[in-house]
Amino acid sequence: MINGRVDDYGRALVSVKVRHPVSAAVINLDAWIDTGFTGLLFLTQAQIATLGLSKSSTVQGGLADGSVVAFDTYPCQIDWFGRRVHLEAMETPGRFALIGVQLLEDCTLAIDYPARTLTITAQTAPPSSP
Amino acid sequence: MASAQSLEIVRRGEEIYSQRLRAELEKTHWGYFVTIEPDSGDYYLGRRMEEATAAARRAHPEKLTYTGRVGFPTAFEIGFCP
Repeated sequence: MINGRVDDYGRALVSVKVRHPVSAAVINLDAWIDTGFTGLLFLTQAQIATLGLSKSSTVQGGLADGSVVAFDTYPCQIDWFGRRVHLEAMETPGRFALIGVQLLEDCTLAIDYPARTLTITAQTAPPSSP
Repeated sequence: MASAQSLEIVRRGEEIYSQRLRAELEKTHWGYFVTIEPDSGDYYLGRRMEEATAAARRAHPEKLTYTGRVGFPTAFEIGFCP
């Protein structure tokens, strides 16, 4: 189980460890659970620079207003339920890393707003790495 | 947001997808992620995005690629407007 918190703005946050796929670079960060995002992980430009990640691909994402925006992606790893999961993080111009629903697809997410806590429970093994 | 270089990769990748790949892949690999290396036109499929991009990196380690999702207008939906 992964435990998180709800902050003063109502953001559902979990602390995660993200790694460079090859080097020993690693950062701990607070990621915002975003159920409107159908991908896996957004990292900020500063987090990508700190990890020294290399750009790999570019994808397009559909925004809430119907517009389409291109995002660069970067291979990295996230520690998730005791395993290192390989994924392509997308680069956000925003201030927060975001966790999307694809990372949660085998999980139960429970947010207790009055208690300002959240739990993520894995129903099956996390996604396998290529 | 993405650089001019990345936008050009998207343009060329979309062109290859729509002209050479769409008709066949939408019959055979609906919902898969497809990563396209624009210079060669080589493409790689995966049920997860990282499967397709990792295969492309193994074949073309120095190249930037475009990744889309077969049958969808965009690879992902994002519930915000930056």
